[in-house]
Amino acid sequence: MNRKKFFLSASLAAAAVALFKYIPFTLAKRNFSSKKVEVKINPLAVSRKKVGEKNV
Amino acid sequence: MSDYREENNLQNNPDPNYWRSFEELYKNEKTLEARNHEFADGVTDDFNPNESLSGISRRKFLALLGASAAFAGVACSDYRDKGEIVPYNVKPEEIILGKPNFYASTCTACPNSCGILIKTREGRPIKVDGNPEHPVNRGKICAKGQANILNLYDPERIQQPLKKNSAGFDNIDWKKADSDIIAALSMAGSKEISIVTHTISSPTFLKVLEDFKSKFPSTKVYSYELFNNSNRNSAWIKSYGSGNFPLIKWNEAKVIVALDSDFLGVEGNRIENSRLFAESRDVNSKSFNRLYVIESSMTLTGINADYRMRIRPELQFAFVMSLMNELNKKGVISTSLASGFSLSDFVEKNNLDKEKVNYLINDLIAYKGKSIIHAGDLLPENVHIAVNILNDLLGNKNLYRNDSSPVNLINLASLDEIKELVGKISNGQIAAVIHLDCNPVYHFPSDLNYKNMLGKVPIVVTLTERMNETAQFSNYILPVNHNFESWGDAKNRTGVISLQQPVISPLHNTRQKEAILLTWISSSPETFSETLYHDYLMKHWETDIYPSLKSKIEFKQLWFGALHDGFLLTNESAQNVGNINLSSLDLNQASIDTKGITLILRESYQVGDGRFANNGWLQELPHPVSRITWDNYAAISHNTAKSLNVENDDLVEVSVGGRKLTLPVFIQAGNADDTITIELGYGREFSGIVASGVGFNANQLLSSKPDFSNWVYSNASITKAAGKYSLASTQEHHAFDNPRTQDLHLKRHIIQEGTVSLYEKKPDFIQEHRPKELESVYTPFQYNEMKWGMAIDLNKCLGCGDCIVACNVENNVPVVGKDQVLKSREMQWLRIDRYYSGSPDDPRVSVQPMLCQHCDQAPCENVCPVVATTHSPDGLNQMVYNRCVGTRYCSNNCPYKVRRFNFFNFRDHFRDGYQESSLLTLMFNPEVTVRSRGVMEKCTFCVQRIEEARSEAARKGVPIKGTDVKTACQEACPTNAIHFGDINGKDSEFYKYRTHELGYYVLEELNVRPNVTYIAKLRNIHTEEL
Repeated sequence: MNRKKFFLSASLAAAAVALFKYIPFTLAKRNFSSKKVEVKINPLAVSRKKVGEKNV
Repeated sequence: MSDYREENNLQNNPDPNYWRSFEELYKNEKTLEARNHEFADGVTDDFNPNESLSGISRRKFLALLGASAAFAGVACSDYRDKGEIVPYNVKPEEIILGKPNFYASTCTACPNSCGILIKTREGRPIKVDGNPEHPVNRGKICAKGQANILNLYDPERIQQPLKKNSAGFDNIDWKKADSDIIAALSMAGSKEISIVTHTISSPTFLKVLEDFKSKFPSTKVYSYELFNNSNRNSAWIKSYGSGNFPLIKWNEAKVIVALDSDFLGVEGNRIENSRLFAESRDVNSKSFNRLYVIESSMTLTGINADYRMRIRPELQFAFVMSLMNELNKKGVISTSLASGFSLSDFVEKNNLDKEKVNYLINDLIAYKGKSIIHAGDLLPENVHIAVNILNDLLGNKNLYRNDSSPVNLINLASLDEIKELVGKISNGQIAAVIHLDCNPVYHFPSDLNYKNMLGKVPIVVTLTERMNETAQFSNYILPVNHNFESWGDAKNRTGVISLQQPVISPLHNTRQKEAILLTWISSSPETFSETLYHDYLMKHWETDIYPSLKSKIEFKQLWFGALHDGFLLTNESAQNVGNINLSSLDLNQASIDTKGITLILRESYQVGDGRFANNGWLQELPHPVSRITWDNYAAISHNTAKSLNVENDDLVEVSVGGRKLTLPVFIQAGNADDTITIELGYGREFSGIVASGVGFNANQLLSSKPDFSNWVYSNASITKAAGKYSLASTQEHHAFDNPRTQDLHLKRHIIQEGTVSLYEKKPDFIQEHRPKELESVYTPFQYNEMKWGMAIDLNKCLGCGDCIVACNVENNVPVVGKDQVLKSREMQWLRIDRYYSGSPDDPRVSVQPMLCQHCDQAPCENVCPVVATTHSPDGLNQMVYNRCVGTRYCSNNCPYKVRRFNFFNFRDHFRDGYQESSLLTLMFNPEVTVRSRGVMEKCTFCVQRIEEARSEAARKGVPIKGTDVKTACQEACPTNAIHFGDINGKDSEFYKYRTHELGYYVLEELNVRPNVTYIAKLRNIHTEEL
């Protein structure tokens, strides 16, 4: 392999690798909701720490 | 099917011993050959280096190696940002990091309104179980109730209001939607505003609807259920004048006769029915009821019968009347109503087993007043009236419960009322239709043409969680809160009111349906607030419910106490059962032509009437009888299949009254000849990526003019269509090793059964089969302290599969999809093995939950090259996920076939990464590792619960006890068939089962020393021998 062809191959390979890394393959997939969801507790609800207990 | 017999020269002489499927019964070569391979065809790729890499040059090899290294380097250098973990700046008072909180609430998955306890971690609901204190379901909850948590986090929930445009839907804000709808409702004038909804079991919601009617007087409410007990209730009113069909003391019945009644499967509150039924299947008290099932389709109730006979549903009336006549002739009852019927003629004509019928008659006589005859929801009113009369004459009214009665807040609309609604729409008499979280376009008979009729309504509003067939044809789609984000109450029987509270604030821009109606009632969109319905609910309780309770405590104290408990007991008396009106029976309806084929449409065990079709866990839950996942099918009997010359998976065209559907056939042992059974709930459209296109929409076979009942159609036809369709059945998956003997399960005592008579005579008859203690090459480990074990009582196990879903939710088990189930790759850690024995016409059915047996001398541990599976000092067979390299040797060496391998990252693989969405990750149990590709997994005996109990015991400074831990499957089991505890804890209830005389281990002769004990099933039949 001559010098010119070697550098051409090497640079093409580097470009391919770089491209491979950044190709957004996930675009082919369906994009389900990725929005940030805020988890909040409803302050009016009554929680407990135990499974079996009764108040009233 | 007939091919198997001919090929194997078996003709009509099937082996009477245990068999799992027709393929096994008739020794299908392909199926038996597949048993010899650990993995199904195509699951593992063959790689032959001589073929694939032959002639490769040194240079090419190095180039490939270099390229592979480069690509691997790139692939591995990707850092996926998983977000940041930030501690609370201000920690909510009720949250302790790492500790769960529980909220008592009410399940709305079906109209039964069971009490639930929702477990949350750091504000995220992660598990639902029954509320142990709730008087109805007593700590148990069905598969749908448990899987409902997936619906909360479903990424396909509608997240904001939508308005229809010419091409689809536009996002709009709530204010605009409310203004438009209020304006439309205000202009209704004398035209009707139709509200279509499912069963209303909330007294406060009913009040909202009354307020709505006051504001908009032309409102009419149509409440409907695709499957309901309207025939039973209307029959009751005709028989007794008032009230509803009462609750039944299943636990006190000595003889139960179920006529096409699946009371253990889909009818009534099956959780309560199952518990009460199983109370009388107790080996400790030696108390056993006897269950006769006379039915057309093999049901969950049918597979648990002591005696089962199959007849077409049209014959049930004549059967009941013939029984009545026979009992009259024997002087047990006195009536002339059934004089035109003869039991002997009926038995002769319909080829019933005379011996079984005689046993039934003798039992009804012997247990007069202690037996109950129960007709199924799908049978017409006249059969229910005949059953009411027979129960009354036999004195079986004793078994109607007098502690509580069912309550109907609002009657379901009859089919005539629904037709009237469609007629009004057609005539332009309707100003607006509001669908409250229901899907009538899918549910109503297609000949009503409801879908196209909606185009004639000026404004159609659908309040729904997710897109569906009805929403597609609506002008406005308003997203509603999930059950776990909502306030509410429920009352469907006397003496108890349940409360529903939100365990999380709405995840999306959704509102509670009651709050939406209240906003419209106020005529001002600004009225809405987050607490609008909470305030209304609380006020309704304070002004209407609290005074009637005559409580001595203050309202606020009662309110918060009731919220904490999830329910409130009240002093209400049950309805009185009066005198029966014998003239309510219409004998003219007796003669029914039973020629041709009968079509029976039933509710799906997995997805209900279709409202759970988007739930992957339920779609993948094997059918309790057929073990089929992800589909519905036409179930026909073995003889009907033979006459039609069809096999499993053949496509057939089912036609009735001009309505047609092509779907695959499944040969179901035990089905009545000349009947087709199809489960509804499938074939959904516009319903998201999980539900759409799964199964076949058999609702199109429903008619608005049924001739027998809404769910049974005579004179149907079935013809073979071109092509095949693969049904994904788990029945032949993970079979034990098969030395090509048909009675493997009998010979190796995998299933051990006996009769109650034999047990009474010889209590230790099971022990005869047990192998002698064998020496081991390994030095046994001495478990001097804790040693965990499980016992499963096969007398109580009904095979419902609720435990499977509970395990899935607790242990973050992924959904894999139909394509993977077809390759035996389902990931469920717990499976229910189902065996038939006897003939395909009258099979005896045995079920056996099978999970990791946590063997003391586990064969999987010896073969793991990386020691990824090890044994704990307390007897657990453990998996170290990050050590596993996926050789699958352990799975190969496991005699019980209970290990599951992640062939993919199934979360990514299933439905375009549906389970990878950030919303669904909120559902994960943080105490259980989420496994990825290449890792083996299996039942852990819920080790996270054991560790939690150990930690709690250490905190209290006391030793851990066996009763401190409940596994997820144990907690879910409606019949308490599963017991878990310390094998060395000799004082425990579990120890009684562990050492029970009916206890045995599966494949005990292998000397792997399993820690799961099975209690042999006893059949309550009249002979000692099975």
